[in-house]
Amino acid sequence: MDTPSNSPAFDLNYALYRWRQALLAREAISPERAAELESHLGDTMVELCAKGLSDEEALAVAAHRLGDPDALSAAFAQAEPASLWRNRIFWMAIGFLLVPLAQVVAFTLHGLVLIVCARQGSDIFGIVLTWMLPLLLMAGTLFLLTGLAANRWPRLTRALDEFCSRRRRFAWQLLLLPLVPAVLGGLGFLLARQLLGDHPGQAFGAIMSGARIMDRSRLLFALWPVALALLAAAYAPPRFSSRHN
Amino acid sequence: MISKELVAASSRPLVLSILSESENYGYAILQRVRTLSEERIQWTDGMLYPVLHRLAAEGLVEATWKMADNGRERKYYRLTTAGHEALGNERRQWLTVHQTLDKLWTLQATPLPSI
Repeated sequence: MDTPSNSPAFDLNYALYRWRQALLAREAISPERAAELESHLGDTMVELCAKGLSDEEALAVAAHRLGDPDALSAAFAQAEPASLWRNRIFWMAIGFLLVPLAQVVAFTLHGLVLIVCARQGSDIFGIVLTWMLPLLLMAGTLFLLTGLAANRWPRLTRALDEFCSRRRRFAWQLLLLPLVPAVLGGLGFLLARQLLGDHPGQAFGAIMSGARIMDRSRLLFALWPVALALLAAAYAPPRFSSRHN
Repeated sequence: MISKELVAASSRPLVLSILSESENYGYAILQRVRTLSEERIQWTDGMLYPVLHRLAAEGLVEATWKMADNGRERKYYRLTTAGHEALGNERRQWLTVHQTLDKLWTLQATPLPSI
């Protein structure tokens, strides 16, 4: 019998990686489900290799036996429709939390540009930048999101998956997320005062009096991000071993 | 070969029965079905997992990840108390169907064609 051999260009790890990515691209196949299917694929490959198949042949046969990713995803979605919605609601909640964060970052940057330009006294430059900045930020955001969708930076995607799958730690990190805009906003304000030449102590006093004047009922809106963070934490993808990655 | 519809319908009692023997993982469950049915019950391998996840969502089985001897991690499924009850239920239903058909075919003395 011939000794099993792969075609010269065959790389098992890369082939497995491609197979896993194809599975993960389906909506109803979570990282944990993909890990379970990969464990099954591994067992089948061991069985087939023991019968004399090469790694390449064994992978092809084992993948065929597991079934078409679209059919698998449809079967998972049908068997457990709630899991699909948990996942969707999780990402909706994350989106709602990230929008105010992105806005604060954008406004802070915008404000800084205006201040710097005012100090330099260059009006034309300031006006151009003021109009350009929102567009630049939008382009940057689109670049980042489309890059993630196209898996342009596999290591970043993997790190994000890893981050999202650590359910318990993630819950605490999410609760901190609503605080970030508040802290950033405060720092931006202090920095602005500093740059404009005011004493930072005065700026702090201004923030405090602003908080006192603020309509009390508005404070209830602060519960929104907390509720969304709790929702996202509850529906975060369940923890699974990262050894498969 | 058993028809697709019957394979799908029988997956539930088959999985519950195999798990009532001991906790087990997907690949081994499939191997057991293959051996017992003498390869006549053929599942597309992956289709077992939606069944297992459905049973888990219904609280009939519980799952845990464990490290196997060869260093590979596997997800083991175990029957819960509700799972044992569900198995009893399934068993009664399948036996009723089986006994009814068996009586009919005995009365009719139909010879068994090979499948």
